[in-house]
Amino acid sequence: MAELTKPPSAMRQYAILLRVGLASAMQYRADFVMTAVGAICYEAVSLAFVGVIVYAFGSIGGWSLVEVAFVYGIRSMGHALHGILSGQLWTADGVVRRGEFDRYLLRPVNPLIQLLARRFQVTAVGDIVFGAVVLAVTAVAAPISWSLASVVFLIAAVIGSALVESAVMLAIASLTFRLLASSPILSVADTVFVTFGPYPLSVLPRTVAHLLTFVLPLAYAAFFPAAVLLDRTTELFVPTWLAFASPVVGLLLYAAAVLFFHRQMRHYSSPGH
Amino acid sequence: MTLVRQVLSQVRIGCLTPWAYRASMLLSFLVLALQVALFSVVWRAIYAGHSGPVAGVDVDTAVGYAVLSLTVATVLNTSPYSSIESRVRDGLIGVDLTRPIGLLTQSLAVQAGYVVATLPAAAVGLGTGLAVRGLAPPPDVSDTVRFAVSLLLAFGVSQLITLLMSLTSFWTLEVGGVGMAFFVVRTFMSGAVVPLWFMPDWLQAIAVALPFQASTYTPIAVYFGRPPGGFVSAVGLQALWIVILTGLCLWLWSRAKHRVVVQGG
Amino acid sequence: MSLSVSAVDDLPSDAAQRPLVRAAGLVKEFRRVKRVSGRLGGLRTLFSRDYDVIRAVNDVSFDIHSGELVGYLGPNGAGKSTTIKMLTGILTPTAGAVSVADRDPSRERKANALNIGVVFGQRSQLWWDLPLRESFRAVRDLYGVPTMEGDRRQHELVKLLDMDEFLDAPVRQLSLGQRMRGDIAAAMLYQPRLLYLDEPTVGLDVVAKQRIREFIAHVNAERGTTVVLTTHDLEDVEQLCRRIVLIDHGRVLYDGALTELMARYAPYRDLVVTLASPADVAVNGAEQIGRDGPVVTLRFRSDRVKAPEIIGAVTAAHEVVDLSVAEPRLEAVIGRIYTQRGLPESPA
Repeated sequence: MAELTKPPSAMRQYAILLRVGLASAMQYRADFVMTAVGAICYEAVSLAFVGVIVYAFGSIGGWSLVEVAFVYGIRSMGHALHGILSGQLWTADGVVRRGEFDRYLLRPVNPLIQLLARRFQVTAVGDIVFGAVVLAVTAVAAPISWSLASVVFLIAAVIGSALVESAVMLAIASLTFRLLASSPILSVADTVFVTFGPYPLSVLPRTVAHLLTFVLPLAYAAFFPAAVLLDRTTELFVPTWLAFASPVVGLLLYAAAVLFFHRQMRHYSSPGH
Repeated sequence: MTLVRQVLSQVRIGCLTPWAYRASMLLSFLVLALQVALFSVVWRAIYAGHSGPVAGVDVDTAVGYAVLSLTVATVLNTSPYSSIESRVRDGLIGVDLTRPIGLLTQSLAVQAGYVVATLPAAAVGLGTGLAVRGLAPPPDVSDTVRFAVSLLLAFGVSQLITLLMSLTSFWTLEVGGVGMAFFVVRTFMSGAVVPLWFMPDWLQAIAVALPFQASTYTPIAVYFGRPPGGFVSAVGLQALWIVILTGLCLWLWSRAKHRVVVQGG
Repeated sequence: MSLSVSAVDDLPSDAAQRPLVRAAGLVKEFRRVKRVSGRLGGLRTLFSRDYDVIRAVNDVSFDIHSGELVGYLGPNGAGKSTTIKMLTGILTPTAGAVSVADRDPSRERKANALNIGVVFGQRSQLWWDLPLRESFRAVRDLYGVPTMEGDRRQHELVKLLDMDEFLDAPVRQLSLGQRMRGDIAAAMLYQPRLLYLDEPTVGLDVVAKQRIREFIAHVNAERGTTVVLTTHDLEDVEQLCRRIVLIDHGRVLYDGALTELMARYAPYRDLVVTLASPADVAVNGAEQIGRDGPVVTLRFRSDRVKAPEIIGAVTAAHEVVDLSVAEPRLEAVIGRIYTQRGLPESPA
């Protein structure tokens, strides 16, 4: 009666795998807590870095401490959501090299879903707590008169921020099928995201700012939406509508990255012949 | 004589292991080059709105500091500690214990090998620094010698810190979280990304109380002719940390031996 | 698509004729970047565009019919795993075609996944940190096995494989034999028509091996599950497989009945006699192939002479204390094929 067996929807399968991953992670409760706390430290230190600089310099390119912190807040909440969705991409090269990907191709489940839900990203729990606190505090402190529309835009911007970062990382991780190593390239992208992430990109030389808009699209992940909300769109180096469209850009980029992953997957050559 | 041979064999292994993943290694050099370039852009952008030095540091020193600190941190602060961790987890640590060479010596030798393997990164970092015109030579020759002495001590401090961290994996089988927190605290408190000069006093006080600054910040501060508390006390503090860290490692190891957890079986 | 296929499958006449698995002219080539040696060799290798082409599987064809239990054998590096990976849809063939239940496994991956169960002896599909029971639940959920049906099958498998006592233990704590039973059960939970077993007995003790073999024989005989077995343990093959496919250097060397292989390449028996006093034995129709003190081994063609005739001749000439007749071992035949890297001349 094999006809009775019908795999559930992709979303449901994703949920099943997340449940299993979470149950696995909870087997090591102490480590779960430690890892989440470790993640908070990680983020706190990066905030401290920005904090030290703004403290020493008073302001950056005319952006005050609260304004820079608000850019950082959007970025860190987006980064947290990105971690839940895409944290496992860092393991892509191991999964491919060790042949774990074989198993993903044998189950009636989309292989990308299996990769993304491979383990539960415990660090994301810490990131979310940290990101939520920082975003809430900086959003209140920032000189913004909040309305329903601006709150909706903020939420969309945070999701868009996660999708932008995830899209970049997914596109890079897709190269694993050909290169067998992608985590160093992920580090390159991550380095750029971490280094430039919290700053108002308008202070950078134009070439660099354009690179971060059109090549490694960091600008949509925090600076553009923050500029829109802080009403500093006059400083933008792109048309204002593009800054407003940041969440949509995130969605489009992620869709493109998913397509790219599935194309690259054809190059998978399982290890050990 | 045999000890020298044993140690050298482990150094060799530590040196060859990272190069087994050539592509990763070469790309990590690329990351360094990129970081050096990015930080020089960031520092210049930050200084753009200010005329004159901030906290007594001018833009060239800030950029030069970034070039050196990123380079030194990449070469010295390697993280082969994951090897003890993974071997404890896989229950292979028992194999290591049967080798005719102490685990601490063995680990330190392997780590030193990693550092040797990563040495080309120094050329990459400094080369990029020169290319972005971000590196000035030290004020005079005696500063160069002092820098070399302090750098040598920094090597000792950083290797002992790495070893200490790896020893904790006997207690926390999953060092993921701890390792991560450790990595960033080390990166931040060592002054690898931002010099202690810019920190508020209370933060400087914390940084000075921790060993990390002795592994990166101290030699570079020496390079720019501003050793914290004068050269002698800066170097003395580094030496003191080497003694303290060695003691801590020996103590932790004696405790760990009592509870070698061989997983599974 | 899937409806029409299963409707056709239900017609017994058609299903009986069409093979469940068809491999036709399978070729798989891998490209490997040529290592550049010498100064900066590593760096140059990274940017090199020179490839060596390795042909791991070279024109392999065979059919497997529903209900068969086939041993797929070959020395290390013969191309076994690569073939299995093409049959399961992990790899796409460079040339040739695979169909499993009329589907191309690499194109219709998800549909094919429901038809096949795959067990790798070396790599578990179970969730390491969770109790075995949770792995079963996850597999059932992912494949969409209806709850009642799943409960029934799981209960049956647990009983058959005697897994009750470790069902609640985390997989990482299981012994190799227990884990293997769990892996095989996980692959059978959604009742695939076809089961691929890659070294299912590797590293197991005698009792554990026997249990696995009995289970394989059971599902093949009772449920009609088609089984493709790769193994280096020829006892698995002797006990389970009627048919074997033997490959080396990516080519099929032999495809046929196990008994046929033995009859063709080892059509002899060995008679081992212990004499009262040491002596050489010369008997018509048999050849003395070894002597160790009073123990003499004689080999004779079982298709030409009957064992009793030889025994009669020996006992007539010598005082015999003990005797036994040994059949040739598959191991000896396969061993010869592997070392010669080809089929031996069949004895004239």
